[in-house]
Amino acid sequence: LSFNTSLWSRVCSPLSPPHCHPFAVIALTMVGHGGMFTFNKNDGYLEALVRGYRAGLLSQADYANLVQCDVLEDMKLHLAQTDYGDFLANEPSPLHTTTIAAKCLDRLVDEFNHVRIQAVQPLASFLDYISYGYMIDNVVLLITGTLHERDISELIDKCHPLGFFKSMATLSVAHNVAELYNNVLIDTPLAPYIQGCLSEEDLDEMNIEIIRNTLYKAYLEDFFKYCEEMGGETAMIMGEILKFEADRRAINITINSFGTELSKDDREKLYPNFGHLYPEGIARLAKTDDADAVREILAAYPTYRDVLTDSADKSLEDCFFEHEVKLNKAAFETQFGYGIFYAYIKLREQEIRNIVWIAECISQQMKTKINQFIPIF
Amino acid sequence: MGHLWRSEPMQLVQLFVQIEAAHDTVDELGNLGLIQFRDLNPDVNAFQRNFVNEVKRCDEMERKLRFFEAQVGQEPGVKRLLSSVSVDNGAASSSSSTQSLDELEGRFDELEKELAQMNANQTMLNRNNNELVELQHVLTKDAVFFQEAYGNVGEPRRGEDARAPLLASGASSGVGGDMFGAAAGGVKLGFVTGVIARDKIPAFERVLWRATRGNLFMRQATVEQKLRDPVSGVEVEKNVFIIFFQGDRLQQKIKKICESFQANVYPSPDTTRERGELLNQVTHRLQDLEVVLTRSRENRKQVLASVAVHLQAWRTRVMKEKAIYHTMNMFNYDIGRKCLIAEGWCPKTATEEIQYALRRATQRSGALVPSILSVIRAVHEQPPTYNRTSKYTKAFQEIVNAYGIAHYREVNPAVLSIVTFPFLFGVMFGDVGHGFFLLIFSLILIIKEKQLGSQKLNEIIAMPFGGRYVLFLMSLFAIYAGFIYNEFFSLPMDIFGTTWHQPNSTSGNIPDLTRTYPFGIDPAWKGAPNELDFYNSFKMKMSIVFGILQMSVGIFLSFFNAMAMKRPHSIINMWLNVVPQIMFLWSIFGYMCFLIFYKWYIDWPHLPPPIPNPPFILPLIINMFLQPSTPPDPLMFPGQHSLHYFLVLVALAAIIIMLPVKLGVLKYLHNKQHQHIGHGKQHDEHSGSGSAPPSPAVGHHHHDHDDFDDEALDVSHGDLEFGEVAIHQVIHVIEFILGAISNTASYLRLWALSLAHSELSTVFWDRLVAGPVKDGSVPMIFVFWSVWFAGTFAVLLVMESLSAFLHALRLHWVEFQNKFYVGDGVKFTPFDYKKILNPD
Repeated sequence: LSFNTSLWSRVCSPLSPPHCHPFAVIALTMVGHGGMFTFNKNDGYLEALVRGYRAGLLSQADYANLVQCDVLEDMKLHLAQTDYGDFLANEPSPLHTTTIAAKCLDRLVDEFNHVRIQAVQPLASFLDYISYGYMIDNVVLLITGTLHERDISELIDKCHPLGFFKSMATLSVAHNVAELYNNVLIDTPLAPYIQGCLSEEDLDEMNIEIIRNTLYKAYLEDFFKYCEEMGGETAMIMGEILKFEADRRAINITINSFGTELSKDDREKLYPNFGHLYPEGIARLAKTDDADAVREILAAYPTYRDVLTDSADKSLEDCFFEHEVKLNKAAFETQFGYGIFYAYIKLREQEIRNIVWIAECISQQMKTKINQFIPIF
Repeated sequence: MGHLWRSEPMQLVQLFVQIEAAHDTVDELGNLGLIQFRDLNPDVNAFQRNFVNEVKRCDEMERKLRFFEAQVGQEPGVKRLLSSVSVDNGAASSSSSTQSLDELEGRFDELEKELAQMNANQTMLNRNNNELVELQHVLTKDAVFFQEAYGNVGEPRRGEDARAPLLASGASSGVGGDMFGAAAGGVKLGFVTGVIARDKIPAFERVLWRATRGNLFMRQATVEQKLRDPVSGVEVEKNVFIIFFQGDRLQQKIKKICESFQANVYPSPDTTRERGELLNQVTHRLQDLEVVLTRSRENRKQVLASVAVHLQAWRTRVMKEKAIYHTMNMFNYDIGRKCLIAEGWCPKTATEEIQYALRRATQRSGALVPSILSVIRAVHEQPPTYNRTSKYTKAFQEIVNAYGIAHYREVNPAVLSIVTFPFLFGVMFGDVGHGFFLLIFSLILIIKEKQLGSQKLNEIIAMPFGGRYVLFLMSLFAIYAGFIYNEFFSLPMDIFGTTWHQPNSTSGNIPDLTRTYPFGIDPAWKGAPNELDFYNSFKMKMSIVFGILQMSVGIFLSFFNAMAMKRPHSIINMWLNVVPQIMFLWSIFGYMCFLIFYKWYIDWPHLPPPIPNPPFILPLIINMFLQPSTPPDPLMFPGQHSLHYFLVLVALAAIIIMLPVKLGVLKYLHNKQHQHIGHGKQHDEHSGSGSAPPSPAVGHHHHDHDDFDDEALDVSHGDLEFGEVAIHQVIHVIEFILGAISNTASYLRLWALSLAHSELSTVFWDRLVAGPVKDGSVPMIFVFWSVWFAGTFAVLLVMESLSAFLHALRLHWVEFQNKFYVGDGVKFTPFDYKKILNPD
């Protein structure tokens, strides 16, 4: 079924050139990227692997059991019955939330690396694109930390392992963006992204935020373009997910900028140049001054209207997470595309957030809030 | 043999065990290994069970044991101790079982702390040691760097710059990057020196160059000695570097870069003399440290050695404890009576042993109230299948189990397989020589049984070792069949003297009619022009006869299964299933076998009216069904035609009994049962509609009803939907009828494989041995003989035996077992320490 719908959506989609004969399009969909004739040759095994990983995500029943735990050791006992297995077996009691989080992350990283090592092009660069996002986070974390005179090795421990790159530690040497670029980032894949905000100004909090958002904007745009060029299922699924990601960033930037010295012009430069909101919504967002106005703008978009309606008792962030989970789950309904690789990583991250949330609630005796996680399957 | 014929009769028992005796009871039962506990709390989470804390404790202890093992593994000397101890762990485990779990836990705790402390100390000492060693290297290499700087006067500016301050300096030494003004140009030149991992050097150099815009001078030298990282224990190759630079800000920057690359920066004095002094100091301290290090290492080794001796026993103990608490978690806890209630399946014959174990456990624990064992009735659950096997019968049982575990108390095909399986293999693998090699191999495995059984084997050896007795019988039957076929590596053996003689060279062989060849096939057939015709005819017919025989036995086994059922199902199955199946099979293929023997028995050319060409059997059988009215030509015996009419009628009658008649009977039973249930329901309604009936009466009625329901379930055997039963029966019959033909044909594989085997070995012999011998070149005989032997071994002994094995397996699983075997049972998996400690 998924094949049929995707085929027709491709044939009938406005993206396909009008002069093209439908059968030519069909032929193209079969042999081009994501074509069902050739996809499995290179990526079939890894796709199957990821689908297997996805089957190991915690179920509702697992969450129901986890929520009932009284101490973290109980969680360990229950997680031992899931796909996590004995991943905590060598940890001495008493357990800490941080240990659980670290071990969960280790598993995710192991799985990602296992897939990455076996991937061939273009999947390999697709997976690299996923890791760029974490690199940006690491860069920002390191320069913020250095700004606050924190010990570099301590900072490196906090970095996300998916975003490690070689000369990471050297970031502490940099004092302004130009140095940052010239000394360190020039060797990394992030180099092209930072060229938009090169300046000789010294780094400060504000600067760092701008750097983060500029990098992220450039990264998202690049990733989006890459997926679009790839075409097929990848473009479809990743398009949806990345558009949402872009919109989320735009909204978050807007809301967080209220009451700061960030000028509206500067703010506008940080918005990604694609997404559901682009261009009208973005233009309107650029002019707003308060949160209610944002809500009004979003109400014009059916996707976000639905997302935000039931947000009475939930934070905006949780609503976004929920929608993200929904999009990522949808990726698994399709085949012959790379969307599931991205979606799996994101779903797994959400699961880790859930486990950590539950563990925190248990260790801090906050049982009333324990159900505020976002179930996946 | 009796215990193998059907699985053991099982019973569901309930144990009431005082809480204080529970642990010892489960322990005793684990030693016994005869009871399979049922999980009485399937809905309870793992972490909400009664003894979860004990399980957690065991987990924790296991973790510590793993830690000890890893520590022991790091010391090669001690590790040897571990493997030598594990052999006689039986004695060790008995000594440790006297220690209580609490004591053990305390001991583990102490040991873990002690080891952790030792490791921390060792790490610290190692780090100190590494630092000193690095400093030593830095100092010696720096001396070289500075020396070179002296020597390189000719080098343009850096040599000058570097030398100038050194000569002029009397400045104090600091933390590496010391500043000294060069008297001449007022240029500030400092240096940083240290050690860095070699693989980081390219990135380090690049970053340095970028950060200083090339305003530095760097020299480096390799450290030949590999340094062990104190935390991870990995050996790292390192380089000494020295960087000269200009200015304060650069110093800050360079130090930061060094820090970010995890390079260790060391202070180095400026003057040669001072450096020499420091070097001496460092060397002294290193020597001292060496002594301390050796001592602490020795100390650690001793502690680990004491751990290694007990490790195996400890591990056994903890695994047992964990298994005990896991089992106890499956029990019901009666808080009021302070006792645990366990349910489990055990063989009926084991009651005594279990009772005895319970008594022993009560004594051991000193509980006041003895444990009680009571047999309870199992409802709606098939008891597990438990076939007691010996080491001899085990492999045969495994062959059957691989297809499916027998239904509870079903006739076990393994009994007959003990003979039929190797026999059918022998039929396909018949060759005295090849069988002899197989026999030697299996005998080696059997003789070395004790030795091989005690060690862990790799998969390739473990497989034939597990089936060594199967292999033994297979080889015997292969030799037997080899004598029948009269083949020894494809050569005939003239043991009794051939009965054919050759009066003169022109005419062919003439049989000596006074005697027959006493055993097997006359060697004269080998190499005769009609050899293949003769062998094919013989082997083909033989295959059919064996096949019909085995399938008939299969149907008879279903007769035993039917007998074990309750009435009226036993009668239905017997008369409406087994009997017509036999009728059908024998009316066609039984008759065929008869004709085969008959045709062998009659001396056709010497009959009173001689028949030169005896009739073919296959067309005869086909015509019997397709043209029943035309008489066979020639008649093989008087009355054959009438017999044909009779047999066709019998076959048709069998089909009629199996389909319409059986369906009718089932329908009748079904209706009768429905009426009963309907009747009961009416009753129910009546009592319900009656105004306020007295409650005890209602209770009584319901009780009756329940009883009847049980009975009804037993009778109907679950076939509540008649349509489904009918379709099932139709499919069954069609499958049987088609199967009777296709399965018989399938037995022809016996012929095909034995033909292939003998042809292949003939070809090998003719081409590789007989040919070169005729040519007479001696070295070539050696070469070809070895090629022949290698081919015989690889192709005939290994591959052919595997394929014959597989075909024998198929004949048993498909052709034989589909006649009677249900195979939907559940295997009996008792709580047994032996299985827990050796999972495979």
